Amino acid sequence: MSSEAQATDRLPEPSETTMEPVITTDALTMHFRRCDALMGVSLEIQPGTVFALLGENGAGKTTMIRILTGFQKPTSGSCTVCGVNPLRDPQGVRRQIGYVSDAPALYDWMSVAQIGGFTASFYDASFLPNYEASIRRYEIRPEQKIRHLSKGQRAKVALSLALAHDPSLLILDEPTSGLDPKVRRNFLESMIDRAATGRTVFLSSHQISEVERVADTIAILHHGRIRLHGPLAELRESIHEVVIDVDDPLRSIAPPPEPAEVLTEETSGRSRQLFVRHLSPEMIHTLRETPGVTEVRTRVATLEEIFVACTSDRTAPAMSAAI
Amino acid sequence: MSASPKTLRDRTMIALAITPPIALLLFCISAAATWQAGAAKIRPMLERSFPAELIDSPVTQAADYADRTSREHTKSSRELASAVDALNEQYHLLFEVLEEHDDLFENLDEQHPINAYLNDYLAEAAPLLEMAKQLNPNEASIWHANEFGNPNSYSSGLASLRGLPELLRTEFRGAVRDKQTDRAMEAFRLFQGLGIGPTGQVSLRMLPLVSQSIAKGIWSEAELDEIVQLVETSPDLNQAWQDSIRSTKLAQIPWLLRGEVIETWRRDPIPKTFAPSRRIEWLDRNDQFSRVGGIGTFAAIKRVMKLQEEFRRESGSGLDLALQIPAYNQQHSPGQSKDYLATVYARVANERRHARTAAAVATYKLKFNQYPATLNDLAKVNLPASTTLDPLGDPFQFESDGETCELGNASIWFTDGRGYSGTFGTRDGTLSAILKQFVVLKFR
Amino acid sequence: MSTEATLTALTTTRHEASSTAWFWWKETRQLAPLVALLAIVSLLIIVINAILGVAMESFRFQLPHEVTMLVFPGLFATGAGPLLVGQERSLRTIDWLALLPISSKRLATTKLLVGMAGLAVMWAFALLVITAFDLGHRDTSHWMIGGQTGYSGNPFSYPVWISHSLFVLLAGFYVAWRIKNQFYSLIALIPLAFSPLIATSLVSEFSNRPMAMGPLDWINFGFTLLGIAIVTPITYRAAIQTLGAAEAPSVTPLLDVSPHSPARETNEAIPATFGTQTAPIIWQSIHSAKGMLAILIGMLLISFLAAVQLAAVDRYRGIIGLLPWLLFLAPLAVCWLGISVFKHDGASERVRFLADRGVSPGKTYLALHAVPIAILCCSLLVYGLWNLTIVHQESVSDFAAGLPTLVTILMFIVWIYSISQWVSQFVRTLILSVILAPILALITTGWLVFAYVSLGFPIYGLVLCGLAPMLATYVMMRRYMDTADRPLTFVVGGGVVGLIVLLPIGFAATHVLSVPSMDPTLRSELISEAQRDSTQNARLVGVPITGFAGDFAFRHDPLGDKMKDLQDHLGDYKLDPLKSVAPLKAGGSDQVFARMDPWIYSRWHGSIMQTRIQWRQNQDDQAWTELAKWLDASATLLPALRRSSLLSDQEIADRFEVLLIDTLQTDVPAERADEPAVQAAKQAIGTPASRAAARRRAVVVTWQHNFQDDRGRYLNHHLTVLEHQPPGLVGWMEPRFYDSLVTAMLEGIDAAANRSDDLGWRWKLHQLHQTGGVFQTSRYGDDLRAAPAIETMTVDRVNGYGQLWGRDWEYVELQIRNQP
Repeated sequence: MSSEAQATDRLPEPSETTMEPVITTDALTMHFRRCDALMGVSLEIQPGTVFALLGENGAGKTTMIRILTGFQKPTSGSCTVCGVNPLRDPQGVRRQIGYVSDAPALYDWMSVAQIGGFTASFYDASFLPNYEASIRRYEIRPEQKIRHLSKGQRAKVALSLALAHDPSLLILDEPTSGLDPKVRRNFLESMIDRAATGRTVFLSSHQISEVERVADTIAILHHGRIRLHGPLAELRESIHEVVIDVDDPLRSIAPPPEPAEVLTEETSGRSRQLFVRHLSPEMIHTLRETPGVTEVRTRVATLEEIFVACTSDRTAPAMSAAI
Repeated sequence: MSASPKTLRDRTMIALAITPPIALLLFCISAAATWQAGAAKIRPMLERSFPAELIDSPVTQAADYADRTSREHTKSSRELASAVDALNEQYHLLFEVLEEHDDLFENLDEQHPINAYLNDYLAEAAPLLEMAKQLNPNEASIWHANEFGNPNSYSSGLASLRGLPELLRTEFRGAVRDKQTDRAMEAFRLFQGLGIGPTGQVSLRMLPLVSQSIAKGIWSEAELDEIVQLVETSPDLNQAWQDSIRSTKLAQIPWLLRGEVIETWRRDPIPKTFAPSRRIEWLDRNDQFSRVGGIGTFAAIKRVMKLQEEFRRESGSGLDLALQIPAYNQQHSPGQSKDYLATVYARVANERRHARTAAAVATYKLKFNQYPATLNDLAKVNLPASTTLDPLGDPFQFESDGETCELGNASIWFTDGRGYSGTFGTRDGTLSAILKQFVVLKFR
Repeated sequence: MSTEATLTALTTTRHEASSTAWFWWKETRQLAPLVALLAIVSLLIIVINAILGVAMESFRFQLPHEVTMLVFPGLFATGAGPLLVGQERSLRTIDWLALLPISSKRLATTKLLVGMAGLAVMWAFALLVITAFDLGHRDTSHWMIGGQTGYSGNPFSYPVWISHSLFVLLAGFYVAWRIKNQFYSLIALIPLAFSPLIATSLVSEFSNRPMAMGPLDWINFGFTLLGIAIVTPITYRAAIQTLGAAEAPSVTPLLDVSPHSPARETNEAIPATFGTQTAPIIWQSIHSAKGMLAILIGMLLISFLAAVQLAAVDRYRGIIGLLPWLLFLAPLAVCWLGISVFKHDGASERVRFLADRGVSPGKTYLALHAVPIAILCCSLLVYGLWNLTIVHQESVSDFAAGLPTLVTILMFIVWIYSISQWVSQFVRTLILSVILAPILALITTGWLVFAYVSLGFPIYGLVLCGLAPMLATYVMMRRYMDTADRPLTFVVGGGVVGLIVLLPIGFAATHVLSVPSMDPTLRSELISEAQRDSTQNARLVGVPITGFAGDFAFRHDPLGDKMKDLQDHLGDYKLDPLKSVAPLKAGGSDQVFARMDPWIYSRWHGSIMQTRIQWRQNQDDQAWTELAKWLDASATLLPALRRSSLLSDQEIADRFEVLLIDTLQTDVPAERADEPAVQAAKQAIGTPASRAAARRRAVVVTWQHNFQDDRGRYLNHHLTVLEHQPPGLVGWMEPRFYDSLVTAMLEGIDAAANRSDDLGWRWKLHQLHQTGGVFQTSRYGDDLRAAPAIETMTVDRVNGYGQLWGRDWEYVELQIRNQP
């Protein structure tokens, strides 16, 4: 990493392209006996951003994370995290990251304080105060045994443990699944100001509403392939929902010309609903001109619609990652 | 609760879980049924050989014993028995010497060092002998206090059998020394009167002495006939064999009916039970032993040993053995081993044949005043040829040159009883096992 | 705020502690339950051995203490690896641990070091107990490898034991790192742990000459070191590999078909449909532990085949000699089947899964037990059917002859199975229950067999104790399904253990108390009376009965010249009555008492009978003087015997009186009635009152002697009743039986004194002397007592007291008696 960018307090410009990406993956493929988890995934995640990996259950998110954290060797392809290949030096990677799995396995015979102390002993002195602060914030009694905590409290403790040593990269696997709305909201805000302080957050989730509010860049994973990858803002403008009413249901409408791409198409009676990417105004105008079209309505697609569009199987061949 | 009907997988799962316990239960129930059936079969089998009431309780056995015996002579017979025992205890050194010196009858004329002591004993025993003669103590008919059904069998008070027979044997020896044949015949008659069954104890057998006395030629022809008569009336061997088997079966009735062994922790700390099939098997084996005929012959010994070997190798595998506690193979074989008994009976039979052959030789001498050249000449004194055979079926060893002759109790010479001569398989090993001692009567 | 205070207080103290301290703290906390369990169980076995040793003389079965203590560090080593590693892998806490910045090298080595430290502690504890209780035989050197290990039943020297347990520890870690499934790792650990021993026995087997313990010790030590050298690196590599990234399965990619196309259809995809509710649980319990059940069935099969082979051969040399060791697989398999009920992988989760779906505890309990019980019933059935085919005779094979029956084996299986299924519900972790269950099953089986054999515990009691643990787990089922069973399960567990221990003791106590002991007032009265009597002034005079020759009579010299013996010593066997009783006469005024043995009395009795018969036959003076001599001697001896305080002497005196009365009545003619000898004889015969007093003194003094100064002078009472009691209780019941014997005898003496023909005391004496006999036909019954005493009394032995008391001879009035 270039020397001048090392100060952590300066707010790095998100658009600075010269920064070295935190995570790069190169055609990661992973085959299990009965399913192909990843079919060649190549990503680059810039530091200081909140990256959200979206995908249905069983899309390969957890496998991806396990490969990134060095728990699983991919069938082929490679990846680097914070400049280190997890296969060669898993410990190095794990020292710099904080990882919270979907079902954190903690020693249930320890008390909250004990597990804090135990973990703190492996990090520097700042770990324990941060941990105690977050425990106090989440109102969990330190002398209580983990065995007796509820699912949500257990998730909070795991979170506090992961954040206490202020890791440069935070990997979260469906972090908010057990949390109540209030806690979920201030947890997400903390993610935003973490990214603001230059830390990277790798979020894997299928809660669209949550991701929409937090993520800088998103990627949609479906059947082991990245369907869509790019900054949230850009993606959102670039994808429009077009509803075309025609007079005669049988009339066929030519798809809009190049650079626009049709993600999904759906016809119900006399109206056709298209999700089109890179739609320019003149394309809308030509659509209106085409005979038999009674009316054309377009609006910007919500992330949820984008997600559904990307993950429905009738889409066109794989989307190329666009910057 | 579940709406859908039972699927095939359901049935297999439940079947998988249910069938083994049920099969085991059926196995145990059939074992129990076999046990009950077997138990029910035992009493009828017993009733085939014993009267019903005898089976039930020892009290009836006591009553049955009381009917068959009389108390009239009980007091005097006990007095006589204790007196003879005390006397024999005092003279036990004499009996040890008598047993050792078999040259007592060598030459009756000159003095034998033991004569003095023999006469002292006989003098002291004279009144006892007198009483014995008046009493005519036939063991079978005299009542003795016997605690039927009680464990203290040794306290049954039966007069000890050693005293009187020992006295009569010594009296017979004394009489032969003094050549008083009437005294000797009286003693022999009394001894046969005691009705002692075939036994292995030397001190309870008179025939060897009688045979040696015959060789001395002191007997007249009439007396020889009477001796032969007495030998023929002695208790029949087959009957004795049946009685011994019957008495062991009678003694085992409690075990047969209830199947438990009375636990006496000194002998066997673990309480045991016996399945009816084991008890029936024991009964069958007992019956097979009692069906062995021709007791007293070597063939009978072989048959008995074959049976025993057969029983040793195979064991019943009745279903009810599974319910026995604690093991499949509970050992229970009361009474003396049957092949030992058969061997004893063979020895007694041979003694009788030997005595009758000796008597025939002596009669031949008296009739033709010379000894027969071969055993076949004895046909002249109407001695059947079969009585001149030893246990293995060959004629006794017999050399004679007219004036003197020698009659052995077996066809070939074998080591003296105290020495050892080969295994049961070989000829002399067999003879030595059966006869224990090779006796040669020298007729002068 | 309170939480803040406590948090700061708690953490500041530990803040500075280094990570190693924390790490060790965590690992030791995980090992603590195993160490505690093994320490308690080893002391339990030592205590039980002590009890068994004391209580059972006839049936000595004991684990050698020393070996017990040496085995336990080995058990710890077996459990440490799986507990520290296997446990964490199954609970997936290893992943979280791997996230911490700890290098896998440090993680693996720390766990191993903690295991070794624990092993060292266990060894210290074991050797401390061995030296404290001085268990091994000191004279044999245990610390020198190959040294003579003496007869303490300890095959190896201590260094070999220690190195072997180290090897087992390393093997445990290797197996735990290498195999993910906990149960399979334990199964794999057993052959690995025994590999040095197997190697040693193979070496001694194929060197085909028996080797002394020394060289075997060295060979075993060598193999153990070799084992350690091999296992250490592969353990380290397995750990690093497991902690590293998981290997990707090398599989060709599926053809790219849509997820719902039929090409993807495999039979697992077809959902199993069930009609009833129990069937799915059974199906689940089979499939979720398929591997484990297969292994257990395999173990049962192996031991069955070993049994078949042993029953077919009657010589146990060579490799056949190892077969008996395979027989131990069967009980172990039964034990682990019991464990599989509540403990095979996932039993607790599955039980909660069923609880959530509202399946009733009863149904779950039956379904959980269905498969193991089915397997056990199958094996029992096979055992039963196989036994129908083989011959149970020593001639065929010793092993077949000793086979226990189906019912016995069923009882053992019930005990082992119920105890281990209770342990599997009671103990939380699989590892601890797999180690604890066989030990508890062994202890329970040993105790119940001891109860049955020695305490006379009935069979239905055994069944009750066998089924109690099953009942306990059934009762706890509902709470166990809601995982709220923790506090109450201790109470119910205590109840089960209490029942199994206390029921046999309760039965034994009632059995002992069923025999009433003497009431205290009578006891104290008798003791005071005994003290008064035993200080009597009579002194013991030896009666030199001639006729029983001196020591040379017992010189059995087969080569000796019997003729010379006869000439020299015949005279010594003459019984001269007057010479025998001379010392009594010399005694003069003061009271003297004599002792006589029944065997000597039978000779005296015979001699009198002989003189009587001689007198009857000859009727001359010489015979009469002889008879008078005997009468006079008897008249002197009888009172002396009466004064003796020994019970058997009183019985002899009774027989003497019967004899004298009979002689006076039958053989003494009226005209000789006033002869001095006859008068003396008449005087000597006592009256019922005098006899009663003499008997009572004898009973009381003899009993007091036995009760107070127990110098081994037992009342030689032929108490056959003791032989019919359970061996373990004989010691407790003996004083009680003596009390009832004395009470019955006192009753009998009073009855004889005032001629009452009450039946009670006779029945009690019959029960004590001729247990199991028929009263009516015994000498205590009326039939034999009606006959004259002279005809029925036993002369040469006394096999029961009081057989002559209260019979007609005591009350006969001698006609020829002319003054009282």
